[in-house]
Amino acid sequence: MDEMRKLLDALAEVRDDVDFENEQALVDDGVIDSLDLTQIMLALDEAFGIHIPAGEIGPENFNNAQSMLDLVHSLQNS
Amino acid sequence: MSTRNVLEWLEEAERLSPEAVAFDAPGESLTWREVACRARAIGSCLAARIPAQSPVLILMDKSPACLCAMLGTAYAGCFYTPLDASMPEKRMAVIAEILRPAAVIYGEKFGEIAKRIANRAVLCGYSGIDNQTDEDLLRTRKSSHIDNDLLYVLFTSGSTGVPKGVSITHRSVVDFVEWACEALKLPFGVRFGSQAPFYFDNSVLDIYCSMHMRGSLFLIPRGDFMFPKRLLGRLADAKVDTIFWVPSALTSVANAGVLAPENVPTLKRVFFCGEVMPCRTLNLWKSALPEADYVNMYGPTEITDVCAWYRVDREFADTDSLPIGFPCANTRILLIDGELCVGGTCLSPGYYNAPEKTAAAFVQNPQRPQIREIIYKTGDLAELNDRGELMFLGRMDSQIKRSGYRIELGEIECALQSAHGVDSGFCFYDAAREKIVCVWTGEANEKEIRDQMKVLVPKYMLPDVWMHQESLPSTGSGKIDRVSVKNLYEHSQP
Repeated sequence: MDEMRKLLDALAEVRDDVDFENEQALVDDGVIDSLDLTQIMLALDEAFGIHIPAGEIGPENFNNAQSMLDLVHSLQNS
Repeated sequence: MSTRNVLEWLEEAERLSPEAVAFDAPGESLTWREVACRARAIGSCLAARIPAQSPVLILMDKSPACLCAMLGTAYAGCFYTPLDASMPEKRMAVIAEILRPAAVIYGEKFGEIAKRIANRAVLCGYSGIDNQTDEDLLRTRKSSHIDNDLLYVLFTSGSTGVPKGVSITHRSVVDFVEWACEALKLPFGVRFGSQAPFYFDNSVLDIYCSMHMRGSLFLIPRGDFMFPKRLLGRLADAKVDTIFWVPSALTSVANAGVLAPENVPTLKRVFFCGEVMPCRTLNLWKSALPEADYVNMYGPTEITDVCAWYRVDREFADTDSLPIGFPCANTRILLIDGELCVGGTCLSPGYYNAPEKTAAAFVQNPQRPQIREIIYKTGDLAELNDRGELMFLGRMDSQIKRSGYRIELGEIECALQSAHGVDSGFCFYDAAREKIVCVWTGEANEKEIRDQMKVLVPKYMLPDVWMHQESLPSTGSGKIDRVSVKNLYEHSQP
């Protein structure tokens, strides 16, 4: 399955009322809150088998779907 | 002459440090002169429309402008209630019904909500208030002010589900802030990094101590608390030297593994209040920042933020409980059948528009029947340790009985939070099934925690139900949202 599709499906499980495909500033605009964020981290963990270190990440990693996918890739390769 | 109105501090800051930053957030900043001028303009606008001592509802994002609206309300001789703009509109309507505001000041994006909940209140869009000051009108309001007039009413959740409006006078805030600046050894020009929302009373210390010390208050964007590394970067960039946060916020930073001396170069004072501070969190902070002042504070909204305090002056093991210490100056603390009761100038005159609730919590001091002396019953249990320090034991309603043993859930929580592999956690009692339920986040599994707790608490205090969670939701003020987790548990029961 296309990785972006897989990511968007995982995100839709967390919040089905958010347009993850098109939103560009999920954190900066306050579209997602801290609880959404922890659930997203968990969903990425499950979908891609990665562990996201809480101390290392910033809002830039979660502002849109592409940056989340980039984060996943960087963690898969590390 | 002693201070009777918190605005005296504002005017002193305006006189002595007019061009110094007062309130700022990323991308916006106001000096003391600008704050004072804006507040007088807002005060003039309100005073022309509503009588003195009227309630004013403030529906704005946490911002320097919101602080101007609060202080402007005080200039009009009125009192403010900041609302959490993210709360359900239904709850806002309930609060508006209790408060019956004479005016609502709203930020642009809350215009529609403001109209729906305003009822007959005067609606003032913040940006529509012009910058004209009516000096005569403000002077009239000032001359009729007494220090028993209310400054604010903050709503807390009531056990029955109906919010309670805790009213606080100028006099109580003056009493508290003068104590805090001295006891906490705040320097002139102190720079606070604010975590507490303005509808939560921890913000009272932030706001008025920075004003009294002619310092500044940096409003940390709420989203930063999701990203500990960015949060610390923000504190360093903004040169914040003092924080007064809920322990949950300090714990999440400590657990993220980002605490290191080079990451907190400007911080000198770390204060906390609002929840029990786990010693493990304290120790993580102390190892990264050994020279800072650490002060644990305790107090419900009803006594003006803080009534007991403890400056950390010795080492604690992760498994210890941190004292809440000693009463603040001019504050009396009584332990009546174990319940912590408070008397003094700090006392709220009561719950706004709720005489029955007031009468139940604010009662005659039974030890002084000869004269009317009111004390506030906190509903918290406390005791003195052998050093004579107050120790918080838990809520009265969190005390349970099992097999004849009296058990404080707080004691179990303390053991839980000290366990390795536990990031955060709490306990509650499922009375219907007679089970102690333990909720935690972190890597440790049930057996690992149980083994660690066994050496700290008696066997009858070990939890029966173990609920591991990936994360715990937080309330608007940043504390753990226990009620949501309990509901989750209830729904999972057959």
